[in-house]
Amino acid sequence: MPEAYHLPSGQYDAWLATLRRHGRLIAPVMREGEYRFDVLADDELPMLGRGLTRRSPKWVFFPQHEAMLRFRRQADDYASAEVAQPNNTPQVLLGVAPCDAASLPMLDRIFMDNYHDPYYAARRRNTLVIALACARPTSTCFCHALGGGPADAAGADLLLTVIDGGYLLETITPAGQSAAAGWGLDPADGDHREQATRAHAVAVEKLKPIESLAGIEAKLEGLFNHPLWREAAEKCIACGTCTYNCPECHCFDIRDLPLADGGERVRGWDACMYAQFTVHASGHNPRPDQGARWRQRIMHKFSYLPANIGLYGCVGCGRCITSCPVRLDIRQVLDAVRRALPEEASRGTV
Amino acid sequence: MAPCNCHNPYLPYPMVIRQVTDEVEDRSIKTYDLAFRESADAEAFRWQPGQFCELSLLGVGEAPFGIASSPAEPELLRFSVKKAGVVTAALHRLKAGDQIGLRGPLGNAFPLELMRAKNVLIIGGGFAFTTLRALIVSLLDQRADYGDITVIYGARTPGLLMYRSDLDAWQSRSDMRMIQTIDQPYVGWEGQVGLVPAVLEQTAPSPSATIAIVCGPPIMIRFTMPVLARLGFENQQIYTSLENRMKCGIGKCGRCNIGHKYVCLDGPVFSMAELSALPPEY
Repeated sequence: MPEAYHLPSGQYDAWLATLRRHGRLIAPVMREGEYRFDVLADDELPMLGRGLTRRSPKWVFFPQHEAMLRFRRQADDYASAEVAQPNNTPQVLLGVAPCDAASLPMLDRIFMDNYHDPYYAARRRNTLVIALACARPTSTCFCHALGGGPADAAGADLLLTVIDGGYLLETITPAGQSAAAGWGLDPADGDHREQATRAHAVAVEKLKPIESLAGIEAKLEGLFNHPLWREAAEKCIACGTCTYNCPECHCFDIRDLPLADGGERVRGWDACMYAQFTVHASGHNPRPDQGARWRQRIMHKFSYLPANIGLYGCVGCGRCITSCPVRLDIRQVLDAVRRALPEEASRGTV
Repeated sequence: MAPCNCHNPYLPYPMVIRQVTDEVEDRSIKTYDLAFRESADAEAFRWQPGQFCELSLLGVGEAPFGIASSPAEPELLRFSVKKAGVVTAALHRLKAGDQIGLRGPLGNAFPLELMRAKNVLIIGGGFAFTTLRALIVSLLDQRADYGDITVIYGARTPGLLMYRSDLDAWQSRSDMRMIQTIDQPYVGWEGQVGLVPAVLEQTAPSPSATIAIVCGPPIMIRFTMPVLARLGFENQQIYTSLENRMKCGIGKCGRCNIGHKYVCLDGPVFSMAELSALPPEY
């Protein structure tokens, strides 16, 4: 059983002050009418427990834009290129939903296996991740179809659960343990743990029953040329919002950005849903239509990643469903995958 | 002091261009011989034929290119660049003495170990001869390790054949067979005339204990594969090198995949046996 502490409401403000001493505090707040993760001002309080933020907090580790290299004006002077130093500021990411935390083990494999990505790795190393058990699953949640759950602590260093008059704080990783050991909190007792267990059970009950997606990679094997991809893409306007809001999508572009006194080589989010994503210099495009791009998005998440690293590229947060401007629902596409007959694929419409 | 390249795979080595050569008559391809600016970088850089690098221009961007020289050529690091986009157009404006960046070597290599003591059949077309040049130089450097070496290389016109002086030198060797061919008769051309698949059929190399490497435009590959099959080659004896759009070159940016294989990490060299198990997404 993991170590656990009791955080009564009366100690909450002092605890937040302790977190701020640990590092920059990033937590959900309202900004410009949007519930989202942001860096908190010194006197600002996090707004915990209001459900999922519209966008995932993946930018904390993998920002939408970041300089990788900086260079001076004389662009031909290659020796002048300098590594943009990865952000080494210690930070605390507070109030992460379990589904968002669950995306981190997959992103870790992408960015830190084989070639080590120093930018992502620095932020991972310097960020303490404190998840908050989900108390309000919604109709678009399907974490439980992917083996997750409202109190799943994978990817988090610590897990908070709301209990009567405060929180239960469970330590998950050694980093979480050593941080919590210095916070001067009282150990939780059996009653606190029991309350948390009950809260977790209540949240699980709120989830709509759903068929597990385990093993769907086997089902996808014979469906590469199935008409279902074109059907899924019919309404799609290729805006890419699903990928931007997804906590797991990690495709990026690298571009050089000229500035007044030099320039930067910048990495920015990119998306398989865009026609330009794979187009060759010759004009040839291996994924020539939106059906092929939908197929890539589903195959990457549910077939290629399981084959390569044994993890799905989806945590079931449902953001791609709630943010889609034409109401495309990945669950319906996955249902179509389940129902699909491989022999229909031989007609090959994509 | 320059930051250490070893821990940041996105930081290019600083290079200087030693020489720029027009490679073909329509001036669409230039060949660049590069040198490392730091001797430590040169020491650390080890590659095998078939691998590629990202050439990098500050303020413009990066693009991947196969390494056209062999590790058996001391002090030579060569790339041939066809003008076809923003980065390549900027590259074509560079001259000897200019600086450039390089990331790599990236990807896998031709299966030299597998070729040992076997016959090697190399089939190339047009611009896709860069890493094949590196391969041929490496094979000839350790000539005794391999059986018969046959090279069939075709282009539309004599002036579009790359590495003419190498081709002529190989043509005059008695320990290999070098067949140059052009698509149609051409004044002054005394070599073979005919498309690569036809010349292959006519040459009829034996598939026995032979590894075939095929690199060329998609149309050439499409018509060459059935000929190899008719000659008795099995998919696991045939290798090719693929190109897909890529950015990072290190398996992270997510755009060069063919099914679950990444051209930048698992390729660019694939056997036809591997490719036949993957979707045709290239």
